[in-house]
Amino acid sequence: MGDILDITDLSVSYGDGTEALHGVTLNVGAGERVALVGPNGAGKTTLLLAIMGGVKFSGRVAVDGMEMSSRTAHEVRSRCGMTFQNPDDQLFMPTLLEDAAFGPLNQGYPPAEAEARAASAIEAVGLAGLEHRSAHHASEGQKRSASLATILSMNVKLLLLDEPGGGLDFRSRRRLTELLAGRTEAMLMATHDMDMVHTLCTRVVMLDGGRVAAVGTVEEILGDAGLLGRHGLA
Amino acid sequence: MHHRYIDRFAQGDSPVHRLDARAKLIAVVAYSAVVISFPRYAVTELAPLAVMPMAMLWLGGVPAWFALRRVLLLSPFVLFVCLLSPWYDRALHPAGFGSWRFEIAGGWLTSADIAAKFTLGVLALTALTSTTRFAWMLEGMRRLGAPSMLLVQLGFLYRYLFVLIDEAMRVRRGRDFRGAALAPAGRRLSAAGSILANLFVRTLERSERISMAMAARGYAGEWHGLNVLRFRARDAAFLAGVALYLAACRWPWLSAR
Amino acid sequence: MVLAMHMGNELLSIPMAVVTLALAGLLVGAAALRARKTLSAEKLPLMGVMGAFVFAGQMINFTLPGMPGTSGHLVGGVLLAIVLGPAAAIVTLTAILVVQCFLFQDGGLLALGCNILNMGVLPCVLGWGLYRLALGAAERAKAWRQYAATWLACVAGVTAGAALVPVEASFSGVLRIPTVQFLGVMVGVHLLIGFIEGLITFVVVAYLREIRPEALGLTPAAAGAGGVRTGAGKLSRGAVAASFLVTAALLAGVIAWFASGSPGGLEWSLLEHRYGTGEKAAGEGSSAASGADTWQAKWSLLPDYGKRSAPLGEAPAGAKGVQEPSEGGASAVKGWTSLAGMIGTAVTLGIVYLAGAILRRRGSIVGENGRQG
Repeated sequence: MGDILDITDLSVSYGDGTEALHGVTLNVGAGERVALVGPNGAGKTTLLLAIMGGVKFSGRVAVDGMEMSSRTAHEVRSRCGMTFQNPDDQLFMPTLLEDAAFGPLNQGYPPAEAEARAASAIEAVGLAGLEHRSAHHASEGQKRSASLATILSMNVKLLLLDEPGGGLDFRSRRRLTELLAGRTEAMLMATHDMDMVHTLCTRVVMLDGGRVAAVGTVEEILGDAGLLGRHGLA
Repeated sequence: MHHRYIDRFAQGDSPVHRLDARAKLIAVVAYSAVVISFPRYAVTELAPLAVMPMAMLWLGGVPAWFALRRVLLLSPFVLFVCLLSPWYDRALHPAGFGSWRFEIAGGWLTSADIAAKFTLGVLALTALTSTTRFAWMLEGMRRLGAPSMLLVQLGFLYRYLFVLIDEAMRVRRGRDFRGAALAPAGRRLSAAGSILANLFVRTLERSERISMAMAARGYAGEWHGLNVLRFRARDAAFLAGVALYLAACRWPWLSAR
Repeated sequence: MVLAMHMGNELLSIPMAVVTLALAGLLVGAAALRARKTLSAEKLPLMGVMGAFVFAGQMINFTLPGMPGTSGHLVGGVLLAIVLGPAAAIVTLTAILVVQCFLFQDGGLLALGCNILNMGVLPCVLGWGLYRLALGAAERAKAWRQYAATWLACVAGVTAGAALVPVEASFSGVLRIPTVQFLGVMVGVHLLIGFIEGLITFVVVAYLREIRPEALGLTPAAAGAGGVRTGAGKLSRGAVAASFLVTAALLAGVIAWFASGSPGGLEWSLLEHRYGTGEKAAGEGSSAASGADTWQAKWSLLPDYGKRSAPLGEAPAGAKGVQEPSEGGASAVKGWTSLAGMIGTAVTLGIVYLAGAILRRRGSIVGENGRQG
């Protein structure tokens, strides 16, 4: 279909029966940037995790034409990458370089090649010179950039970003926004930051209570005060 | 001292920092062995051995107060032995310094000897670890043959050490601000237990999230490492120099009484 | 005040360091292999991150009633063993000890083998074994039984590990303090420490029963009803009981050997004899003490700080491996050599210091990387 991400009727429920997502359908075209908005608990993180195959789901998820299942999980994860809400969950190696190289090494590249990819990803996010620093010696903004580098080094086609600007001050957020604006990959970004949505994204999908509440362009959704109010966003 | 800075000198850059981690590790292990190989009444013979750790520390830009703080936090064993040895070993030994001759009880010599060996050992260890990034030490150990599972755990432990200490300190501060010191013993104990259990569960959940992050980046059971370290000519020269130095320190006393 | 109970290099001899490092390496390697089997691949971060928890947990202290200025805190070995199983706990504790050595300089580099045996392997195996033993038939273990088992495991594990320190130091031939005295102090202090550790561990276990019973190997319903599922460990009860008995017997045997060998009074009289007449004491003492001396004479690489007169493994004729007073001439030479050594060292240190100062002024050493915003 040409879409980089194609989700049809996705549902996720937890062991105790509560439904996190119900009947979600959406798609993201190649190179397109889509924002995922909604109040806390709407299921944004769960949706991103489902795409990565991190939670059990029913329905259909396809990344770059390949359907996500337990068999194909490894392949699919080479095509899309996710950054977590908390960079401390994402950066788990002793140095940033090793974090960025973790993905390529698992993709099967030899150490020298993986190191080269990691180094260029770290440079691409503006952290050149900090490769051998440990994450706990890095600032919040640096950690967020490093998280991005860990999936850019894998040459993925789709970026799933969970609250990429959370906890950042104005300057760091702006820097991150500029960085993302320069990328060509497709993006699905869960966020509360409406400025970032305005600057970066063309379409918006609104989730509430595990269901899709609205889909449209940035102007349509963010310009509709009533809609935002009904779903706890204004 | 804030925990975040326990590690900071290792992040610096100096001729010592740039030496290969494996060379430094081997050098310090050999050094430690030579120190403890001296007999138990050796005191002044140990003096030349002070040069290597001090050189590494000074040329590595590590301040003296940092190196000495560990020495001053005396090991209880060293204290115990130093205080009791003179009591138990009262045989007199002749000793000399310059043209001064005197006799001294063996126990005092043992005390000084143990204290000196302790100090030298701590200084050498500090010299090693404050001029070598922990991640590079791990890679060095891996390439020298240490079991990879242990090294993986060391990596995680190092990475999350400071994160968890931060969490614990925040929680402890919250507890202290709410007047914990005034509570009766039972409640204090109960609060500590509850905080620990909570921290424990949060840690379990954190490790689950890390697992997921690993899987998301393609981890499928096999662990791979980078090869960042490069053993160069200057590392070989360093090792050769250390070997000569240690031999020079030890040899004169090999047949001494 | 928090005491560091790690051994330093200076308490060991080289042969002892090598032996303990090799032994520790073998046991940790075996534990790592076993842990790989019992923990699934996705639980890989669990061990390391749990190790970080132990570090952080040591910050949560509580002041002891009636003992102002001291505080108790969790050391963590037994808790780890209960939750992760003994194999994974050994690997985790080893990682903790290595980090304590490298980052905090707690304990000596060559003493890592001993520290891993004393504070890792022994408390985990012995403590966990006792815990499972005391927990009983598993299905009907009540809360009080779990708490008692935890407490007992902590006291035994901590104390047993501490008892090994004088043994290791004694085998190294480093100390002039009678082993029995050393042992007595170590065991006494650590009984108290183990008691406190048991206290805080059982309180944590009590809370975990409520909020996360699965971590302890209990099903949520079972925690309420007092039942226990088999947890992270898969050793048979027979194996556990056997290992405990063997360890206990070994410890008891070693302690008895030393106790009969050198009571404090006997050594004191030996020293007095030598002090007075300058003659070597020969043939006195119980068989165990002379046995230890002969053993040292056979294996000491530098008896009397001189070259060995007999090959390694044989006792030199007539020697007891005990220090002799040296003659006046030798001490004169030694006196000047000592002075020369000190002066040479001071000069060299001065040169190195200057070199360091010059390097620093040139700015080629960076002590701390500044953070960018």
